[in-house]
Amino acid sequence: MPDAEHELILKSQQGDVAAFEALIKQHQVVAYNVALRILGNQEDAKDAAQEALIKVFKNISKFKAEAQFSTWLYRIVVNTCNDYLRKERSRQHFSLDQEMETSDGTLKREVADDRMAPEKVYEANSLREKVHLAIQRLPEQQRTVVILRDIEGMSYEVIASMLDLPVGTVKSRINRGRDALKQLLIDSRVNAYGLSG
Amino acid sequence: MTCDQIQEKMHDYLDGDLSSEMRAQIEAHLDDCPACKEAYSDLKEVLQLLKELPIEPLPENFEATLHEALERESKAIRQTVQNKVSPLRQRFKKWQRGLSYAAAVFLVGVVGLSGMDGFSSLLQNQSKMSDEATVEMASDSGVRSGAPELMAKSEDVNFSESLSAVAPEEAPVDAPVDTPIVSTALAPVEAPAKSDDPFTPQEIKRIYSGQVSLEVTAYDQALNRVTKQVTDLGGYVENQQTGTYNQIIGGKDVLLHEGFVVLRVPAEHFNTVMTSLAGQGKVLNTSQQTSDITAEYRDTYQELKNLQVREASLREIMAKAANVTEIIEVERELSRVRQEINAYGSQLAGWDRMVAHSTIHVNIREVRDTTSAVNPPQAGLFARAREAFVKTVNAIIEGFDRLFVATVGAMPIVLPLLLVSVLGWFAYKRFLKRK
Ligand SMILES: [Zn+2]
Repeated sequence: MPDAEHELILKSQQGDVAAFEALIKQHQVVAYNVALRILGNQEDAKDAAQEALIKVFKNISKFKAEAQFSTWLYRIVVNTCNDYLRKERSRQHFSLDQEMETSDGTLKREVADDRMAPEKVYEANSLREKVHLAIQRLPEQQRTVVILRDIEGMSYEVIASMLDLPVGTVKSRINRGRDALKQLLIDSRVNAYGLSG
Repeated sequence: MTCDQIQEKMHDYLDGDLSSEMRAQIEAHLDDCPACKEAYSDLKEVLQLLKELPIEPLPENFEATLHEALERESKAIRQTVQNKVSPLRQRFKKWQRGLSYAAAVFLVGVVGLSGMDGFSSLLQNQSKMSDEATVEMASDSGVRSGAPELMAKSEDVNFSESLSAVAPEEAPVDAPVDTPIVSTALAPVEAPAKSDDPFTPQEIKRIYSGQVSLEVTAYDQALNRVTKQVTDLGGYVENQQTGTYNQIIGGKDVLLHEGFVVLRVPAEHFNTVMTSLAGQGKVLNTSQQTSDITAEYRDTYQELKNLQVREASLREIMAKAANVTEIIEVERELSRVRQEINAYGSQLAGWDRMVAHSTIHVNIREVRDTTSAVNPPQAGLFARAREAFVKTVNAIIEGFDRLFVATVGAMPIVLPLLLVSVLGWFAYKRFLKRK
């Protein structure tokens, strides 16, 4: 571990906010983007990424010096986002039942439905948006690894240690995820514009 | 390889994770198989699309909001860090402080009683707190002690209670402050602390204190001599009280003085003063105490340093603070840190005073010269008998006092021994029964 990072970690463990902010400076954007790809919208991504970074600060005394800090940080980001998503979905499902008749409830229903609806992928205005929406339709296990590998460009080994999984498992999940993504986009091509544009 | 196997290997191919022969095999298949070729180009396009997803910048207020949350969290973390470091230690310190306070009060009480007891009564009482002493106490916090090096040989905590005079070889070597003692030093002389840093890790912090009970024939003269010597050596009188008592000598009530004086003596002159006090009259009782506060001092000093670092970083944050909420929060935190810094600072200053100036409690009782008291020409038989009776009773009471002091003094040894022997006895009894 670089000395500077080690020092910042030690200070953070004493509750030094400035040190912690310096420590996470280079990871914030990646953390936010991972959250954005998992959760799909800026509002949730911001909340979840912040929640994750606060969790990192709160638990930094538990961080072991022999581990890679960034790996540890992204693990917390991924877990927080997936928890957030599960919570959010169950909450929206609940509010959907409760607020059916109000205009608010109708809106919520739309939002809740949209996230899971394949039609949304087909109707997306740009290919980029299509890909973004398609990622969110992947099962959680595949979505996470595809985002880390193919969007953020992390290595299989880093992802494996981040998620506490064997490299082989990570690899096969990525392959399955890519295939599913491809199928989604092909379907959308059939239904709307087409994969290549 | 089947098409399924090829399509599985395609991922590794695109990741660039394959051997050259495997690559060649896949490339050959793709040339021959339109289905796999299409699957390959689709997958390649998906990966390209994923890679091309833009990196979104952080939302505008992301860092500001996060900062506020982190500041709140920081308080909780510091709380835990503090609690983790010291709850046991703090409790121990409190205990220790309480015990030594109780011991000191008790000791002074006992010494005082054995010095002033019996058929005497305090008729008058004048008390004065020396203003000079108070002023000096407030201003001498920067004084660095030269004594620790000189007295390094004595035990870390050395409590000696003796009924006679102090044993000279146990007494610390006396020397002036700023002269480095090489020949007479009992331990290597430490390098002097830098003036901007009141503490070097090697420096030993010891507090010396002593008690002496004296019987003198001329109270005022003795008191003046003691006071003058202490003042000449750079010390001062912290507290002084004089009273009178009646004693019946040769059938007549005689008014005599008694009282006590609390001396603060530069630590390096502690022994000189203790020795010279013993020369002022008949020593009834003397004791001295050394307590080593190096560890506590170092801990507190370290805590103070940490707080100062924290204060500096808070001031930096303050300078960068963006909004009123932030400023208020940082200010609140700053004032908390300042308060702690002051508390630790004054604790250290107090210790510095205690280390720099030893405290000596002196009880002085004026008595009539024995030769003039004995056998007064006109004393009747009854008067002489009464005097002898008084003397005997006095001696008995004094004896009890001393026995009491000795018993209490031996308590730390006697109690555990008693406990062990009682337990042993029970164990032995049980052992016999089992047989
Ligand atoms: Zn094929």
